[in-house]
Amino acid sequence: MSLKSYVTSRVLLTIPMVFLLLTLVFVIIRVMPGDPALLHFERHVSPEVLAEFRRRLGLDLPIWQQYINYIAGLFRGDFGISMQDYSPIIQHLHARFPATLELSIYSGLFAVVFGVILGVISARKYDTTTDHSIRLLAIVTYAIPVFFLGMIFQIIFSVWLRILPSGLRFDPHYTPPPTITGLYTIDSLLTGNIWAFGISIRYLLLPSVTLGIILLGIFIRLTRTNMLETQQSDFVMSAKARGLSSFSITYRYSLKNAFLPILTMIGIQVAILLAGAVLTETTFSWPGLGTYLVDRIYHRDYTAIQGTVVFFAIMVAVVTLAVDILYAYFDPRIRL
Amino acid sequence: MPTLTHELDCELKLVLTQTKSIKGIFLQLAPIRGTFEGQSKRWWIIFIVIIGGSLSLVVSLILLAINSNSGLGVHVVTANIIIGLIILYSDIVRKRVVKYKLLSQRLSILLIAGISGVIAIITMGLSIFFIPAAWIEFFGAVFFGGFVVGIILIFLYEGFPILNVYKSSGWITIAGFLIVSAIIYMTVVAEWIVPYDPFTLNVGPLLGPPTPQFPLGTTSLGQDLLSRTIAGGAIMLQVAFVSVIICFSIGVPLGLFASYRGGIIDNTVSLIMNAIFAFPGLILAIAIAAILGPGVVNMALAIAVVYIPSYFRVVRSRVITVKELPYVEASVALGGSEGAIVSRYILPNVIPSAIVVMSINFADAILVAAGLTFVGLGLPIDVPDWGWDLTFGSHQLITGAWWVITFPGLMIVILALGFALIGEGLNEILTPKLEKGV
Repeated sequence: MSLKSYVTSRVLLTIPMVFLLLTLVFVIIRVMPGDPALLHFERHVSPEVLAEFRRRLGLDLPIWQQYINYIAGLFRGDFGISMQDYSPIIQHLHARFPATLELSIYSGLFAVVFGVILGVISARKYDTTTDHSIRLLAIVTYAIPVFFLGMIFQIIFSVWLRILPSGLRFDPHYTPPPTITGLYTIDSLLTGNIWAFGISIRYLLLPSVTLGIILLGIFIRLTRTNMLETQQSDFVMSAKARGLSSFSITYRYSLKNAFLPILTMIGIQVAILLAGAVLTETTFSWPGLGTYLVDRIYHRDYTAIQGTVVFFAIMVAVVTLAVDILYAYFDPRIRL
Repeated sequence: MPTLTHELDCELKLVLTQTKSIKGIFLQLAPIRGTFEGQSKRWWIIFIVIIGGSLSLVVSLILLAINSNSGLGVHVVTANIIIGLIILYSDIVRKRVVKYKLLSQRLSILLIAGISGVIAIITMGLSIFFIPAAWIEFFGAVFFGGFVVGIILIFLYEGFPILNVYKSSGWITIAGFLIVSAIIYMTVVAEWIVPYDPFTLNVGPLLGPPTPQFPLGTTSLGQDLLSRTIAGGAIMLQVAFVSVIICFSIGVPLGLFASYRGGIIDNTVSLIMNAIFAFPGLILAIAIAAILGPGVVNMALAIAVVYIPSYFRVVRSRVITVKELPYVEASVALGGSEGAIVSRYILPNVIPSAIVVMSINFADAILVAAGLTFVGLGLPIDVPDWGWDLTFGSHQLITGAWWVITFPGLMIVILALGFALIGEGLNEILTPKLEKGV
């Protein structure tokens, strides 16, 4: 199978999955017991207000028609309107998406780089105290709630040492760099503004390291297991027999082959990364999609919750697809 | 370094101790001649950590019981230990006396009948005979706490052979199990051993740092943080248990039958499960919890929906392998009914993997429950809960009050860690080929 036909079949397989996810979200918010309109008001409201509210949001239509409108709207890029001020939700999502993307990219990078390094060290020092400590670290990072770790960092670095800001994305006393990509670090570099770059890195450091540490464990374990597996394979044995140094065997032979499963893992980790991003953003008041979601929960704005969750679903599907295609590109065996 | 003769000596001692009626971890920890000779540094560290940790736990339990707010702490703890010892003793006697399987089955039926009888009496007493609720809480704490102590004792006592066979994964499993049961015990007897009432406001200074009178400090409402930390596990444990039971009882049968039948049912269910699995779990749980509203069962339902696919996937992959094995084909050829084949020949192969998923699921459920509380979808404030204390503590962060977040947060970490350790150890014990040679 050529790469092209693999990509086509993969895209065709993704469509029903996305469709299912969208239906799932719709079922949860609209069909399950609990009327969003009534829940939104919490207290008693007059029937006229409620009817007008339902009409504006399209909640008075029969359920199948709501469903068709919802799916058709998504095809046009319409994620519905907010219950609070009837503003289109896509506008908020568009404004906040770059912040979440920036946080996710840097924490993902942190997790992959340090996870692979620690995993390689752990595999090289197999069954020593170093190995055991790194494995313990991997289990412990799994068991820490991300917001708890964030609070600990805030109290150490912002309250006691006062060297890093405890929240927000950019210093409120300065204007952020002009929007080109929406990512402050890249925008400030593109405009040649080193000062703004420094500020955005300073604000980015704590949230991305916090989220990165939570994701670290899975990469350590995966790298370690795969390194140990490839070290038992024949080509490593022959490399040893030819008298190559242990360093070059580890990095040029084992790691290269251990990298493919890690790539698949990155695809699966995106879901965990985004879930962690919601909590990390809330801890650090990071103005991204996560804080938007939590803010909407606070206001009982169910249409906005639905829109944001759908947006997350589409994002996950797209990234999973991209990783699968990359995997097929690097490893031709998968296309068989 | 231990010499060969020393190792042989140890082996001999193991054989000897195992044939004795009293065996188990107690003797291994007891100072037999030669136990401390020639041990490695790592052994000593582990030994000191175990002895020191359990001693400090016991001492703090006694101190708490003496200084308890209810005045009945000593009574409850003593009753727990006595019941625990009775359970341990009856277990030993059962092992030694009962040689016939039938009798042991009858005993376990009797035990189950006894437990359900006690529960029935308690509920009936509550509704019909108007026994005061405080009495029921008291006896509930006594019996349930005693049951947990009994299980801990049996595990310490029987755990030794497991350690001997499985080495490090056995240690990990038992460590996790002890952590979890210690926290369950603490939660069960919390009401009777707390030094102050966890609800009462202004028992101490507002946001006071740790002092001898308030060892973990006080919250911003003047509540004693130690009492709240001891009593705060109930909600998380309830949510975790309910959600795991829901997940297990839906995910495993669904996986068994869908993948055994195969065809269009299997494809449809797999597609739905894969879609849910790919979704960020917490975000889906947030959406469900937001529409269902607060409550233990609602929170558990939200978490359960997210984790059913992990059971389904594991069960499905096992069933597809096992289905093709000769003995299953033979029973199909002999005309065994579908239900019998699935329950007798396939289910036993699936259960070990499902149990590993279950213990990981426990840890995840606790973390998701904490996350839901943090984003404001937790329970009403009238129950002490680590998640709430952590969330409220985050508002006082700027004042430098580290204690209000540290202790509730640490408890969540320890509980999740306990379940994660069980999962880690059981993974290597029950499904060994997953990590073969590694």
